[in-house]
Amino acid sequence: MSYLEVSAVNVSFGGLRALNDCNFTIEAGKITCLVGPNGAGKTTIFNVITGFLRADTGAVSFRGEKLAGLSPQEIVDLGIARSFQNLRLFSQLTALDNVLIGIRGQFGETIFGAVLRPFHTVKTQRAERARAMEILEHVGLAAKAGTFVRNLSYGEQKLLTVARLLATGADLLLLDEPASGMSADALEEIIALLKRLKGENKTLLVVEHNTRVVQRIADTVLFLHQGHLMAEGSVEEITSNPALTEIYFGGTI
Amino acid sequence: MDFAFSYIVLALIYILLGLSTNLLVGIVGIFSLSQAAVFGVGAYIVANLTMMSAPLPFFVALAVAGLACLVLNILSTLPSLRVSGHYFVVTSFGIQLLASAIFENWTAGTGGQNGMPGIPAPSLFGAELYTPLAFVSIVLPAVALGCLVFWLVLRSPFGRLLRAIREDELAVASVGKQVLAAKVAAAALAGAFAGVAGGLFAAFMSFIDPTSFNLDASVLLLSMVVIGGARTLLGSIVGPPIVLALPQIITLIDLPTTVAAPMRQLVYGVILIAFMLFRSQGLFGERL
Amino acid sequence: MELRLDNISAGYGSKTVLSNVSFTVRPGEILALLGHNGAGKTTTMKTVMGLIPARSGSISFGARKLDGADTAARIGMGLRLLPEGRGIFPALSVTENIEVVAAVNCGPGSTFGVDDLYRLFPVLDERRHQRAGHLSGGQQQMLAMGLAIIGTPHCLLLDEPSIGLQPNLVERLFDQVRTICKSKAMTAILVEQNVAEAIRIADRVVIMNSGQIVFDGLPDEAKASNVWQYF
Repeated sequence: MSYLEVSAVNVSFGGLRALNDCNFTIEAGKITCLVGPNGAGKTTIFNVITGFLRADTGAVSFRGEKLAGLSPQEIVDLGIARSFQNLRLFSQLTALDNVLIGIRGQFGETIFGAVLRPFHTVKTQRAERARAMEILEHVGLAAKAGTFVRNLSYGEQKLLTVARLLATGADLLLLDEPASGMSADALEEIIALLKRLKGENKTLLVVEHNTRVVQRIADTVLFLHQGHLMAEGSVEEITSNPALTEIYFGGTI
Repeated sequence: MDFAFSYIVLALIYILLGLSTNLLVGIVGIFSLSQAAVFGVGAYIVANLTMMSAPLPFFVALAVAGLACLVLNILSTLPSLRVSGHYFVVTSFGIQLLASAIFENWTAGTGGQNGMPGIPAPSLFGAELYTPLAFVSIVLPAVALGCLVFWLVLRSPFGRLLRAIREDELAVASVGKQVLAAKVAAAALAGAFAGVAGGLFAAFMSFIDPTSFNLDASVLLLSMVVIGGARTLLGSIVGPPIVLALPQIITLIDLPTTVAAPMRQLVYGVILIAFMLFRSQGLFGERL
Repeated sequence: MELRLDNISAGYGSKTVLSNVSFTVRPGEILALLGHNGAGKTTTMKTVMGLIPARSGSISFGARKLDGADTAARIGMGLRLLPEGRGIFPALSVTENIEVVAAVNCGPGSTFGVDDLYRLFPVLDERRHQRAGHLSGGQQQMLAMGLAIIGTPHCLLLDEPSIGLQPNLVERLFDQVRTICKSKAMTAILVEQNVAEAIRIADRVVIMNSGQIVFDGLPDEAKASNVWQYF
């Protein structure tokens, strides 16, 4: 049984085939990088796995369980969470509150808890806030806990999206271009963080264009082209494949 | 003296209504133009139940009004779960017009244009509360309770979730939270507030007609929230008394009655525009 | 045309982001503006475009002073910005996006026409009638880049053009920018986190840190110097 298995998934938008008989599996505890030309269907496959988009045909299963028909919430319950290319943080909330939104099963997050047992809510929130602080510390943002998202630098915002994902407690994290637009120092931070997460038994599926980042984090690389898995292998195998270099990498690896 | 107390009672009732609107429009971001309709349904329910041949006690009728409006508000905000933002404004505009048409034409239930006179004053421990001063004794606890609930919601994880939903529903769903359930809960609470406010209004005024529950009233409500300040308890408390006092303040200026009425509208409009231009967060609130 | 910043300071509200920024980009030159997130690069670009006012200092373009000119006037002089994020019209189709901008910026003898754009990014040609908002992230970035470059730009301000683009397209795009710069004496400022690619095509490198310039020199000097401590 594979950890995550995508089998024969097809998705069309209008006349456009975004995913075309897409097949792959990923292994638990590894970092798998998903690369491929723009428009190859990388974000689309994220949307299918996380229940934001229904596949026309085909199936996705996670730890042997079929995900078809499950809502995004139910899929997070099973242990899969994703980030977005355009971050989608809550800009009017603080960094800490953004992480708190990710923590599941909080007392007082329903109207009854909030209104009928306010003291218990306050008490349990102390523990939840401590947990959120730990997560912020883990990604190196503890000093920014009280800062509103709009006042964070881009690099910090990217780290915060990872913190919010971690708060969900999901084991499989789908990261959409976590390193794009980051300066070199911030890049080192995110690379270190992703490696650390792997050491903590998280499984990562990462869409990334920055070949240097892929080289440093990937255990396996999946190459997606026109909605179809075109190749799979180690970084060296993928980057030394002339056909893939032609469509994707160019001359300066 | 009675005049002052009447003003206080009305202001308190509108504060409760303002809390309802602030919760829905300010915090969750469901921009509803039909809150006066829900308020009206609460008022008509209490009027009818306390004027039947076998009348229900006022507090039972008030509870029925609160519950009915809770359900009604869920139903009337349901479209906001499907259509977003500006489209819902139009939908709720339609709901308000529909409600106004029913209030004006269903004579058996609402008295139509003529309204419903003779709504009995509530009684507390056998004593009828005729005077505004006595009425304060039931309105004030109700509003205080409303403020407490609003404040608890605002500072709770539930309130945080609602704020996040206002910003980005998809992001909230992506971390595994139930957007629908939270929105329904907020709509229910706002509906109950509006229904109870309507019931109190009917009993206090003893006469109600559709002009209190029309589109103008919905807009008036929104302006109370905007002027007082969205998303804060203080804003919800401060807005209604100020907006209710405006017409009275304007009448202090000595003008012929033919001029005074249009002047009132004019001044009112200018004040709203000025707030939007120079202080869009209201007196004590946040920017919508 | 030469773009010259003299002691520019700028900021938002009470916050000062740029203090005394001065540099010159000569005709035909590509200046790579580097630095970590939050160093003030985007603010510099916005100030040049007139999107935020300079608090002090002066900007000139060729013989003209830009101070006081609004953004539209600066576009009229041939300055173009690829904004941070994706500056496209998501509800319009790909061609509509391009037509809207081409109607204003393209004319006979344009440096970079609509056909050139489709040749540079063939996928935009294939997706002509798709709503821009439905393009993939990288394709949206190509379109945004296209909207900035078509017509006859005299000074191209590119804020992270490589974000979300596949590696070989970054290379092609950068080569294209360099070709236009050299053949039409266009100036360009390139804000990039893909430092290696930026330095490959740049004639000069300016590095910012905390709103100030900490290095201004040739790419080789940059490579050899200790400025990388700022990254």
